[in-house]
Amino acid sequence: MSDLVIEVANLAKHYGDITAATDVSLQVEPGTVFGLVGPNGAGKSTTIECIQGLRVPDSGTVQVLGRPPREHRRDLFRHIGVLPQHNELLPARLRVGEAVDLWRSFHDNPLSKDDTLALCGLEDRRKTRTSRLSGGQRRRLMIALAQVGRPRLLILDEPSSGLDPVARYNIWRNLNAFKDQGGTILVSTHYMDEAEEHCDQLCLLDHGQVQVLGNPRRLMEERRMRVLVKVPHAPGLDRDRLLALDHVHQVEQVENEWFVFGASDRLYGELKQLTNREFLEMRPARLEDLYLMTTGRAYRTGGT
Amino acid sequence: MNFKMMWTLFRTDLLIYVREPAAAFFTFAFPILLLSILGEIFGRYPHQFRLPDGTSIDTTYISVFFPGFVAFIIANLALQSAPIFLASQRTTGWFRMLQLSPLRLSWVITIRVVMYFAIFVFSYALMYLLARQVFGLQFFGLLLPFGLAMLLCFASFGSMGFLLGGLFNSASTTQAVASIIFFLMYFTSGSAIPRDQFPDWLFRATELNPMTHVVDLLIAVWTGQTFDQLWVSALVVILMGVAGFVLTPLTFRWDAEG
Repeated sequence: MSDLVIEVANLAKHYGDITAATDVSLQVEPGTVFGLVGPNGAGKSTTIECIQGLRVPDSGTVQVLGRPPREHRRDLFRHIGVLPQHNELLPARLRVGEAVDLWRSFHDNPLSKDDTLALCGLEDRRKTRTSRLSGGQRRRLMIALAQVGRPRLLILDEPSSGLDPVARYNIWRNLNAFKDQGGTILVSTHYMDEAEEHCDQLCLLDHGQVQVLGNPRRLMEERRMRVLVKVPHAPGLDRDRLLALDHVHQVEQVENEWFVFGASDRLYGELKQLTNREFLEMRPARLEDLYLMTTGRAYRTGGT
Repeated sequence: MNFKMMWTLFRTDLLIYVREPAAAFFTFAFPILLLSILGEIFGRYPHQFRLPDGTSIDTTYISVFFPGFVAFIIANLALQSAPIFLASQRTTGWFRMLQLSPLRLSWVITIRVVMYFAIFVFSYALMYLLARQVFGLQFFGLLLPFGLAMLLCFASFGSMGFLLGGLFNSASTTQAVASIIFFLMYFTSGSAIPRDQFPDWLFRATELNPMTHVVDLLIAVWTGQTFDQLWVSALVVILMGVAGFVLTPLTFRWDAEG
């Protein structure tokens, strides 16, 4: 039997004429954080729902902990904790302590109620209705509920979506602690910075297809994308002239600028000389730049 | 069987239900209000009927038509509360949350049925005590047949409620359709207004109303009638239940998104 925690092979899913996922293949190894990244509508949630067994793929196979999820739903969810995308799934009139009691009752050896409430920092809110929690508190509660059964795998659909930086930090601190204890995390996010910082492996999805798959840093290194210099358009300055420079490895046109990538800071000097400009904008290359290079489109979290 | 889980799920379902102001009002307060008002207006009117052995009984109006109030509780729970609650929990995603747990999904339905039955028993007990204490309610039948008849009506209408709860994606559509069905059935069944007050054409037309047969069956058993006087109503209620049990699995959905 495979040691892989999740194995998806050639997954395809359509909703009528809309293709949500096509030929998606990925493997999640134990003890890692695997990120599904992409803009809204990229196919992340459909892929996750197929992995959770909530949806039936049109073709392809899904194995979770060595078993197909739909056929072994109950057994698998003893070992899997899930965070759905939306916060509003908990009934508004349910109190925090009651939600914890219910989730604890589903498992044979759950975390204690106090530990669960401590995990989400809601020890003093046990009698508060879930509808009266802030977005961040509700998200933390739902992540703690996912962890109540001491799972081996957490499947999290956009855990930090819509949260402020402090709430995001707290959520990732908790998730990193889970990983440090040997847990595996499959997380979908449209925050590229988050994926870059926390994911050991990522799968960049767009239009239901895998665009890039691998370790984020290695992916950037393979493409020699360490620094980005933005060069405004100028007469006679074209792609070929830019690529002819020694330290230029990738070039992409974005609106009125060339995005020029290289592995060395010396790229900046070369470009200044070529363009006769005193100042050019330079910054470290980021994962969203990889998206740009892969899809030819600037990364936008709000649309497809 | 994990009794702790089942108890916790039952308790959670019940808490969510009773904390919904509209559901709590229509389930607990409204039937009491209805009984108090109608009972005060008509309840003490003299009424006469015959037992199967020919004995003439002089009693009050409420002692014969009390089962109409019982039918109201059943129909209100089964045709209003249950489908609306189901549809709203499906659309808000609560059922999706439960699918993502190791919970056996059939238990969710079982516990839900048990919860409605518990609410029904509680509601019935309240109505019975009120009618007995305030309006001198009398019972002329046998306890076991009446209990079985109530159970049959509850199961039959309950299955129709679960069927209705699966038909529409939207909770508001479910609520609108459920309300229309409920009020149409209620006002023409003899539960609100005795059918013997109806004009002849309406009396005949309302024989097509399934709730009419629930009311007739419960009144017949409550007043100690024999099988030959209630078999048609019993058969209609049974057939309706069978249809509900057969069709519900075809319409029931855990997920609003399909």
